[in-house]
Amino acid sequence: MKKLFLVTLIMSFLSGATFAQTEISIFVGSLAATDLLEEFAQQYEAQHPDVDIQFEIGGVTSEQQQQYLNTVLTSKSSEIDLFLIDVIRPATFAAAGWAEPLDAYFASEEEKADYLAQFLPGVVAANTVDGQLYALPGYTDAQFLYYRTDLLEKYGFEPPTTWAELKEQALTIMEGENNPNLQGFNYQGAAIEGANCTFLEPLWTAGGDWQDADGNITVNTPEGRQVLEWYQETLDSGITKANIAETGTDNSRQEFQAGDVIFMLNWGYAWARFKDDEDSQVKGKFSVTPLPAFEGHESATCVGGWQWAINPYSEHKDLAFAVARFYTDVEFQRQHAIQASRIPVRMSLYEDPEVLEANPHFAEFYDVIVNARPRPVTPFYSEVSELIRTSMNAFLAGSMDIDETLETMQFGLEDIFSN
Amino acid sequence: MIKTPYKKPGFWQRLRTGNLTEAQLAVLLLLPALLTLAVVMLYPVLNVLWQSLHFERLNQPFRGTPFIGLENFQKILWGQNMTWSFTHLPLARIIGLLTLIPAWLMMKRSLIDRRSALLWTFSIIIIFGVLMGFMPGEGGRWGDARFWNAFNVTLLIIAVSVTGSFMLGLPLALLANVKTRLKWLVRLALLLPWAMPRVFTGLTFAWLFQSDYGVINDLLGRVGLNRVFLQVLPASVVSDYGILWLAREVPAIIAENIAIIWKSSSFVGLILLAGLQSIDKSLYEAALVDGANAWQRFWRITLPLLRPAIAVALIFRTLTAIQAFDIPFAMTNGGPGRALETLGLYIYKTANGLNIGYAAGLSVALFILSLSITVLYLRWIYTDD
Repeated sequence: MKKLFLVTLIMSFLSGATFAQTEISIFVGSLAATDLLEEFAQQYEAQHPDVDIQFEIGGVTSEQQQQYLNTVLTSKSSEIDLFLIDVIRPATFAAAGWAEPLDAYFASEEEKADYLAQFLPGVVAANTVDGQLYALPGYTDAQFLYYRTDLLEKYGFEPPTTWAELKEQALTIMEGENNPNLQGFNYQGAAIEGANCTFLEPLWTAGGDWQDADGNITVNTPEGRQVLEWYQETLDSGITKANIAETGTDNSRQEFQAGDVIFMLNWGYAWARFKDDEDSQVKGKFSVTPLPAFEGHESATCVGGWQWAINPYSEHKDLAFAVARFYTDVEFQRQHAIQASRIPVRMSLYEDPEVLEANPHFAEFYDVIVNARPRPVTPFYSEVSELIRTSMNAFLAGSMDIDETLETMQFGLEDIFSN
Repeated sequence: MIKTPYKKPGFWQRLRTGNLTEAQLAVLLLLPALLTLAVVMLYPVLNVLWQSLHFERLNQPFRGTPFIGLENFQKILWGQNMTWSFTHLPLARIIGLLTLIPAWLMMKRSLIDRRSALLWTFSIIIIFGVLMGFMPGEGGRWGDARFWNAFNVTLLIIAVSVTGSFMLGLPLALLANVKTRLKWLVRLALLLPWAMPRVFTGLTFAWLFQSDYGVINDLLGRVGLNRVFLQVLPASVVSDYGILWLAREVPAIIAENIAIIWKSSSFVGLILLAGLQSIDKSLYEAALVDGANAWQRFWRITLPLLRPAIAVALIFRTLTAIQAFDIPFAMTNGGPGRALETLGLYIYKTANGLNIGYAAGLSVALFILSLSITVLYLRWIYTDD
């Protein structure tokens, strides 16, 4: 055993001496499709024998990976060349100087425009800060309205297109089913990252936004009020359970999976669980549809997913960019969708027969995903997010009324941006 | 013949000859520990003090880390705009704060019995906190309202959980001290909660208190109490499936305190058990001969002799309660909203928002609070009778 180790060691020294290889180090979280990434890295190495791609695997959650990158990047380390970051982070990275601006890496403005036109617009928007591109799209996600096809059919309903319609359908079904465990509408009310979307999505579908074109905070507005009044209605009418303030993303998933929910807001990962899990009570009885909107407005949803960013302190930035682009190519994206069920960032793949054969539901996802919008693109994202989700949680827990909640968010956001 | 004058042997010579004085040996032996402590404790502490005087936001590196003096502390006490703050100072608060001065002076001059100094300090801190936190001035913009809310929540957790764990820990210790065949069972019950990691405790209790499928509401429902709660309690905190434990403020603080008391009373119990075993048995025998009943023996012998152990237990409990983080973090993460944030959680969230300078300022404020409470505790313990 010792001998074998020694031989390997010598071999690796020798191989290092014979080709002067450039080593590229990639950092990804442990939930990324690492096997597939490594398989394609070998393909890339075969085409470019002078490149050696190494992977470093980080923590499970976005926060854990972020803590590691905080350490690496504050110390200006060149150890990692390329990394995957959460869709909410590019603006923070851009402001902190932790992500290389990418415009200069394209041959021309036209080339950049042509390249980006192949991707979902919401994802490109999340990666663009002040007109400058800071990251390349990795894969995407979005919130969908999951619903029970069997129950809607039984009562002769089409999937709702307005929030009011959703409430009427939920009430009718709940009354007809007479099952005390059945919830009409389930969403994320706990103070988790996803609760930002719980607030922002209805706000967008009311034609509002958290900020206007001049950068003023526009939360304490008629649109903001409409959102909170709607959530108050979900609680008062009983279509949402009283302890929704305790419900996180996976609680929602479990409750829907147990067959206890008619309508639910949730991310793409839930689909595979409902379809494949042994304990799933909803196999073949569910589907997704775009989020309802308020009367006279368009549907909208939150974009999720992961992006490739380049360490500005790296010594091989050109090469890192080339590798990142390689991972955005059609071939990798196709296999990523087929083998790892990741929702593709390339629009053409939603019509790709191979992809659709492996994941028929992507066809339904597309209508939702093209409407997906980024959460606030700002260097203060972590503070903005903490404020919105805790306010939303306090509102759903009855700690603050509509006026207090709107004022807290409006004043708090103004405070964050005035420092 | 020249007489060499007697020279006291120096340190190095004594070291060579193995003839160190006791004090020198003590310093020498302590040195490695002291150096280690200096590196891993003193340096970080001083560094936080230094950072608290600076502006440092990791998401705005282009602004650098300029020295800003006491601005972070000003933000905690008065808010961003000092002039604005003072012109909008609520009258009730001015009067309230002014009444604290004579109280403080009286305590300092020991006009009040020194043994009750502890009680006085706590009441002064609580009145101060209530004035600052629950009277947030115009639009809640006076001072850092979030800090004062966290301050009050922390004080509430200290008051309830320290008292609670003492009330539960003392009977546990007395029970474990009784010679029965089941003594091992009681001692095991004493050790188990203590050995459990605190975050783990928090997560376990979060599941127990879950409103619609938690064990506690299920048990309460089975004995028919949920129906009673629906009648008796305000409609906002109950639903068909029982009390909305973690989804409403008041039930949530009760649930958190129950979890903390469950976790920490065994620690108090263990320390008190050690104290109980050091009490001389002959005292009880003498009391028996004199015809003292059980209550008198407990009140006149056990409790007074247990005082040093009680003091140690209370100090350690208070210090961990001031730093309350893990259980509240795991149970509600300071929720609903920010209502139940403790100081520890607020510091954590600020640092997580990459605002390192202000987080350091908050840490120093927490340090001052725990230091002043500890000093008063020590005064109380070393008071001669």
